[in-house]
Amino acid sequence: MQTVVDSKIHDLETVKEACFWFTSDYLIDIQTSGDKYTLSFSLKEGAHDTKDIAGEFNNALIETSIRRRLRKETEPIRNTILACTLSHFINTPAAAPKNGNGAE
Amino acid sequence: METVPSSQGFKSADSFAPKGYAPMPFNFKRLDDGRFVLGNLSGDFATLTDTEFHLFVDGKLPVSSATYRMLHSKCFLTDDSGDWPVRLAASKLATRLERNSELTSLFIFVVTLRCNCSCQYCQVSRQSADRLSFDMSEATAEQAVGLVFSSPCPCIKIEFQGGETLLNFELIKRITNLVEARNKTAVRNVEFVVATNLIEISDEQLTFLHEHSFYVSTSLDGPASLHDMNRPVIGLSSHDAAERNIARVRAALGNDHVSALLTVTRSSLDKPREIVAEYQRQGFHEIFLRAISPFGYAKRSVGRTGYSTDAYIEFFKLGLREIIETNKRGYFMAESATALMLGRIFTPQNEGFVNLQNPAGDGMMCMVFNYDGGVYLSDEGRMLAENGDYTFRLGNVGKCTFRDLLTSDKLTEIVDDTMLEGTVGCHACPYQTLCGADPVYHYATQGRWIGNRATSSFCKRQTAKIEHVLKLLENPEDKAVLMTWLH
Repeated sequence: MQTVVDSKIHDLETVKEACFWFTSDYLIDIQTSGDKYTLSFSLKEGAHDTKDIAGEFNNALIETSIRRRLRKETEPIRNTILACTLSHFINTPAAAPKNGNGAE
Repeated sequence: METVPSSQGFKSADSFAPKGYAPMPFNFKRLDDGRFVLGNLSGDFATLTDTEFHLFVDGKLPVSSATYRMLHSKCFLTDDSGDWPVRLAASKLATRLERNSELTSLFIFVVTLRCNCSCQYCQVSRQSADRLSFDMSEATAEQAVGLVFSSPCPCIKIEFQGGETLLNFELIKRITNLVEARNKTAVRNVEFVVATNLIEISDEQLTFLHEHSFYVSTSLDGPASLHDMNRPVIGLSSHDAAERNIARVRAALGNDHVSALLTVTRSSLDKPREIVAEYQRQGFHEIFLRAISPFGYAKRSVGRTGYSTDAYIEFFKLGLREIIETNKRGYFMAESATALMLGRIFTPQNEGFVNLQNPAGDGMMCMVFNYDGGVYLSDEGRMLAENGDYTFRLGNVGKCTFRDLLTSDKLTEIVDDTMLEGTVGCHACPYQTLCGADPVYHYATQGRWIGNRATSSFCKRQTAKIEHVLKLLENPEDKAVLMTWLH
């Protein structure tokens, strides 16, 4: 099965991320040509065949692009949360392992 | 006295409404029924319809809606009413990470590989009961105890594993006394656990275990026919022996000092009801519907005992249904993996279950001292070694300090590789806080400890179990039962 993706709508990283979960059942080949990516899906031996692979992949593309947009938009808040989290550990007693065998 | 009309002197309710909102970081996944499940850093979850999801991510969710309030309270969005969702998310994340910062708390001593049982699924090579060369030496035990007290963790669990541990009971006594003597100055909260098949246990052994407040972990695979087939012993029924000795342990140590572990084999798959009934009959209030491990020696018997991931998932669902119905009939019984999951869904606590940590808890939270002095980062890691694969061996008790072991290139590489945020597939998964990396499982099944989640049976199993439990929580009657399992 082949499907074509317009590179003006989805960049290559989004296409590759969307492909990931399909690699459990398919071997996927990506070819670029002009403004298009052509994806070929070949079912692996003994794998589960998705009935509407093109439709499922299109949904995965849309969800991946939302995911990537949100990841970018929420990065400052993520960094604030992580900084705030790590600050909890700055003034707590150091948990560094003691040197030597059996030191208390 | 003059009264002030309610409309005077106050701003309108609308003036307090937020002017807009910003989504906070979260992962999401589309479920089979078209809804979306969201999970975030604070460990909160939400399920949205397709319409709600797209309104939310497009910044168009009405601020007056119940969905808005729910997402706000669960740290999925922040607005101009204050930065408390950010601080709350950080506080919950810090609580969850606190366990990791305490470092190693579980120390497993493999006191012998000798065994009197020939279990079909045994993960370690079965050495006959008279081959003393597979016993841990006193010198090795003393060096290992030294390493235990180098850990900064305030809570230490010493677990004795085998083989059949009670065949080397003198060493268990020696280690216990050594630990208690050291702890007079180290002052840690120490707990002892002994894993035993309970084929034989003497009154003297029971007295010692009682005096040192031991917990006993044994095996129970179900009714006699199933247990005896899985765990054959020449000349007797291992089920009868275990049942008789479970009762003796309870009488000597107390009801809550003995627990049983189930291993699901192919023969178990059509018997979830019988297995749950057997646990109830023997008075257990917790059962762990645990899949067989494809490690070490057990790999050789997969043809006889193994099964597909789909078959296990079906068994898990049937077993969990039977357990819930048992509770509804008035007998309290929790399923261990589900209870752990519920604890993480409804509280920010990290119970420290080694196989479900992010990054991997192997080595960081657990350390295994094998009978020959080899130090491994998990029990599964030493099981691989019994088959000649020493990938997860960190060093030797006599040659390494605790710092050497924890800062070894191998362990730091594994920790680095197993942070779910950086693992392809896990990086976008909403279930990160309910899951873990399990590098030994992925190494054993896929050849690389980092693993490939697209083809991982661990990932498939975990995802199915989590989504099943989340679905059960939508049923008020099932939820009422499940909430009683929260520790």
